Amino acid sequence: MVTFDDIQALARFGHGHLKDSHFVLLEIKQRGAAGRWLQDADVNAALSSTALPETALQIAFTPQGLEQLGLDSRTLSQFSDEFLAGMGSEESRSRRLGDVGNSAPEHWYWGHKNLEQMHVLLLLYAREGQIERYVETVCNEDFHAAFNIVYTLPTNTLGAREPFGFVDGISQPAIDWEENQRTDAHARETYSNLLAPGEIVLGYTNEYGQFTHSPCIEDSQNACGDDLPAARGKSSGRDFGHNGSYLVLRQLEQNVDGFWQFMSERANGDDEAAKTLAERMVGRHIDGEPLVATTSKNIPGISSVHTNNQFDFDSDPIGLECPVGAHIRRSNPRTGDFPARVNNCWLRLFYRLGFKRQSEHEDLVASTRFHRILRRGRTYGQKPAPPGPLLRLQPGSDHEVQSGSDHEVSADAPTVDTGTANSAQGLQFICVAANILRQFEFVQSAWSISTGFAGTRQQRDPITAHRQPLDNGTATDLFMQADQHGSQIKTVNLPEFVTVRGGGYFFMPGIRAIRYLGRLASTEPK
Amino acid sequence: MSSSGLQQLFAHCEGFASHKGTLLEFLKRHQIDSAASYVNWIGRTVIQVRQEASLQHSLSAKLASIIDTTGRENIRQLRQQLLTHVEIERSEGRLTLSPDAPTPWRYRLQNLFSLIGLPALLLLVSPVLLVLSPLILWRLRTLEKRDPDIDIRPDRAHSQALAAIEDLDVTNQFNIFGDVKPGWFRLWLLKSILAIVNYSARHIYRRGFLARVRTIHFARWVFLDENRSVYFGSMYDGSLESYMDDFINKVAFGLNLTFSHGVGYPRTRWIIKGGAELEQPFKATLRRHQLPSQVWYRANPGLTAHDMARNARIRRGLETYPRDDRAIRQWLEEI
Repeated sequence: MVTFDDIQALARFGHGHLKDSHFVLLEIKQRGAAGRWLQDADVNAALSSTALPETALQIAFTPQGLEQLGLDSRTLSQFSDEFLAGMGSEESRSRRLGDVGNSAPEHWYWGHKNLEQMHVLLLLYAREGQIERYVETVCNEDFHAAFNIVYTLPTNTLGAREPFGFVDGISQPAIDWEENQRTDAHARETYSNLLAPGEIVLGYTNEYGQFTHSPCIEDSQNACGDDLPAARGKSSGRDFGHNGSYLVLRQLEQNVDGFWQFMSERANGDDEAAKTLAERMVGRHIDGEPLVATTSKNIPGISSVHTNNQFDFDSDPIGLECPVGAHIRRSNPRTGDFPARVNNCWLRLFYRLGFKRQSEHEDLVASTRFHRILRRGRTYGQKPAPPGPLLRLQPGSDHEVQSGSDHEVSADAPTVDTGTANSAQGLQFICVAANILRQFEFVQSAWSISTGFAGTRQQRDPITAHRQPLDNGTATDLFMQADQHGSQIKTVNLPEFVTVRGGGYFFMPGIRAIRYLGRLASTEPK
Repeated sequence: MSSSGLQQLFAHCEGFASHKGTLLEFLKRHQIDSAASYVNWIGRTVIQVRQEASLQHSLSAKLASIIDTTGRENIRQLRQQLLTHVEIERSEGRLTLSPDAPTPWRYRLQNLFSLIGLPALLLLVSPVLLVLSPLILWRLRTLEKRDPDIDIRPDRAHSQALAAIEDLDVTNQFNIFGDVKPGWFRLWLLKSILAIVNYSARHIYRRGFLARVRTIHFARWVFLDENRSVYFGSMYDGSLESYMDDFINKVAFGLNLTFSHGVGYPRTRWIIKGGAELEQPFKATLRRHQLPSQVWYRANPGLTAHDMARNARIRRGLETYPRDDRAIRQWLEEI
């Protein structure tokens, strides 16, 4: 039984109707005051109701924040290694995530230098035009007595498109809250968009049919956590992580002008061709339609009316329709556990032992279901005039310059020291997952930035990745498209279009766990 | 060439100072044969890999320039021009494609014996095995049930030290060291299984794949300390997390067969089920028993096993007459 009243709403809803948002990183100034504020904070739960909420508040913490609030070190040490280490703190992690060169943590606006002050992440949502009033309500006197604002992440009014101009947010896993779908490999040979709840929230079975490790409070350390559920599989203790999720936040700056300039140049000024090249790199048409034909077969978790999501790449193994290296194919390859489409048990055994393969392209990509993320990102920056090629192709439609909607930072938020930061556009990438390493970091390292994804070479994600060569000098700044005549169409010398400006790993606890932290911080002075 | 450096290194070994003779003799005397070893592609030499990589580079650049001038539609002409290009490059000495060295007759003979040996032995003992099998299975299951449930997370500093030397190249190194569970039964079972693994690696999985996994370059199992412990070392493409993904989702049965005899391995059921299928305890066990490599050498940095296989196919496509246009298109696609 899923206890939605204890899960934070963000794990279930994207708050799409609340178009304005306000994200702040906080330092705990006064522990007791922070505890009192957390006990009363009006955090939105994942209950569904007929009336959509007018506002939403979600809270997540860094390990430093949990420690400040007084969570005992034994409980803290049970969180995952990547959360405890932080996104930008180890060179090897930066390597795996592709945060190198201009995207390296030492250049970040937040999440590296000010990591020690980063304790709490507050995500506030309101209807369009209502956010400032809501921020004032939430960040009242008690709030300011408890917290310092370390950094205000820019956001703008949510639209359908991301800054490059593409319709975004089409593909999301559908969470199987009722746990109707079987997780054993025999039942999951083909791609399904239904995902076990344990992939998103701790305390439920994941795609392995198991429970992802959850931090538990030992009875000897337990001061005031009696309303937390009992620790799973242990004779004593309380489950602090139950109904909580890890949350990944990355500020991704998008060079919109550079992106379209590049497409235009490579298309020799032909607007239609520039758009097509960009679409090939993304893997979707600019209005969201996939490059591969939609399939008539049933994909669990995708309603057949949702045509922009009704596809996989089985019919396009070499990437004639959608290039293998395209952004959406790398981020969600839509593979199942067992590519062999055979029912004969001997043939299956044969296949399992590696002796049968339809082509060299087959079975090169891991099964997707173990590496899904739930995206909750928001765009930021002034909504620009549509880039040249798009403007000329569709004058006036869909792309009006939005004025007055650009986000204003609150008065006490320190502004960013870099002149370009405020005029820049991009995405506050947010994803929710139960296992940062197996989900977010895997997608990033094995699929997005990998030069060997699905047997490709010399290319990384054409949209999001860096372009640094391999250690032996092999260039990785290519984009290749399969062609009906055989030879690949190569686009060379791709520049970087996206720069990481900040990032962090957070834990978004269940609501009872937030109250526990509140009590802990306010009752037990350090 | 590097003997003085090696001398210095091995001078730290016990018995090196009192050893009379060359370094090579010392090394040979202390060599321990592996119980099982796997090579991604038996018989493919370093030189061949390098030559084929150069060939791919050269063809790729030439193809791009031909397409720029004449387009990509006329595939037969493209192929012809590429063949000519290779001819010229070879005659100018910029490309070398040495023919395969013949397999030594001694190896062929040994291989033949090895090919027949194990099946013959199995055939011979099969009646006994058949009679004993219920007993073996019962014993196995009893031991499995007695195995403790262990789920200990690796020390963070240990994991960080390992991660610090990972993902520097497209290929990574992997060392595992652990104790064999006590008792003759486990040891005997492990030895038999590794003998079969070794046989399969030598005679069956010799052309680029080990079951469904195509990212392993080399792997070997070695018994140490008078059979008390086992070392496993391998080289694989991609990051550790994708290696683990392959282990758990594609070849969990194989991992269980070979690793479940180690102390601390997650509990198995009938030697094939469970174990590696228990994601987090399995990953933690391997990480805990992993050792960082002090020195690690790769002859072909930047090339994955898939790259090498593709380059070999490109060469084969160059040296053989294409069946049809489809074969030419496939060849061009890989360049």
